[in-house]
Amino acid sequence: MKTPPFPILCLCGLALPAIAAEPWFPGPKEIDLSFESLGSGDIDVRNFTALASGTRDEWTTEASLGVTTYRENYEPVLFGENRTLAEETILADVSLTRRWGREWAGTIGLGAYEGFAEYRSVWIAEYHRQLFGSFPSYQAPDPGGLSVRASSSWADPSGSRALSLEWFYAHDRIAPGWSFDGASGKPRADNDSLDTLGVSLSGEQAINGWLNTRLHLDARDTTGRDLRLGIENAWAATRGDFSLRLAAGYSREDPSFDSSHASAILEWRFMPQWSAHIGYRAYRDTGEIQSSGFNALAPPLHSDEIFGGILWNTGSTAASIGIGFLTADHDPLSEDNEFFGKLYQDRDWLTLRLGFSRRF
Amino acid sequence: VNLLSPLAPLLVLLAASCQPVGIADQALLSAPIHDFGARGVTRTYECGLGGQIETGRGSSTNVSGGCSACH
Repeated sequence: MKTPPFPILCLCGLALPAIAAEPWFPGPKEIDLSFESLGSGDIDVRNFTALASGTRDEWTTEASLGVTTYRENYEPVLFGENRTLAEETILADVSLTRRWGREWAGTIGLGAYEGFAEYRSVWIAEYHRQLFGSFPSYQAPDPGGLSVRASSSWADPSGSRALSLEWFYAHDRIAPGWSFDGASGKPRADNDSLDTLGVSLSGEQAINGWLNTRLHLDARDTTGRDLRLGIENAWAATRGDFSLRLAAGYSREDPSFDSSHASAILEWRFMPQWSAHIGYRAYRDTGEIQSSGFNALAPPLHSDEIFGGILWNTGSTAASIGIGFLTADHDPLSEDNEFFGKLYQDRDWLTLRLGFSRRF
Repeated sequence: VNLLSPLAPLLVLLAASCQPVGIADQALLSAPIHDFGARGVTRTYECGLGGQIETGRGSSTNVSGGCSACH
């Protein structure tokens, strides 16, 4: 099925200035601009997103429009040619929230993107193009996706506890893998679409005036795969000018995928409008790769990131800058999959973040 | 059950702590670090693009937990 993201992209493009227009949304409004970059020596991913939200009576509308760029130096392992790959992905999202008093709220949302969803797909699509692109039956990938979601939330009138339940459906039109069909002697594309159904439940609780916690559970069912289940628990505490957040999470998907992560963030408010933070996160997974046979799935990964940043926040206007150093170590690939050795080689990544937001 | 067992002590503590905290005592909890569901660079601390590498930690796209070309 060909997804139609363009109407949603246009809708978001119109919604952003409409939200900013005073007569449409007389209540509180907000704009948020975010830039993030993830780069190593041969792969560079950048994202810029503009978001606007506006309120009218019990209704809040939010729209965002973003672009992600990919630049990768493709290096084949055994055959093919070196190339510099450049791709752009447009992302859009729009949502509508209705509040009933201080306790209940419901949200419906629509999202879409046109282009590659992540850098690995760009690399693997180029591998297949170089291998099968000269055959008449080969078709260039045209990835994109569409998602719908609905959520309901409840907050205690005192504000000390909250629950939210979200359901979503996503259809992804992916860059398919290609293989030779032994019967016809021609290359044949694998499945080029994925459908995902997901549900998540979050609960927050204030333990006292300086400590709160959140428990998040989610489940996702994607075409051709087993159910993925995830859990994350986070705690945050503030004492004087210092705050600490600790989080740990785990997810699993049969038959063999497990991942776990843990993070700690320490924030220091060194002036009334200024704060700085430093954090560390460790991540481990058992890899998506199968025990035998040709495939493009990732081997087990161990990664660590140290990150920090500075935030200036007046209450109505905020600006921030952040930097991180992420080390990713993959286990060696099996002999069947050495073609993807360059993609899954160990890398040191640099992450950069710039943000600006204003409420008025 | 296996999924929940590593965090069982925290779940017990969470259940035992379910007592309302008055509005007057929540001033510190309005700080960004206490907002676990926040979005945007000015209200979050970790790079959202990191999910493209650490695929078990969620994804910034519609794609569920990993590379869209790898399936």
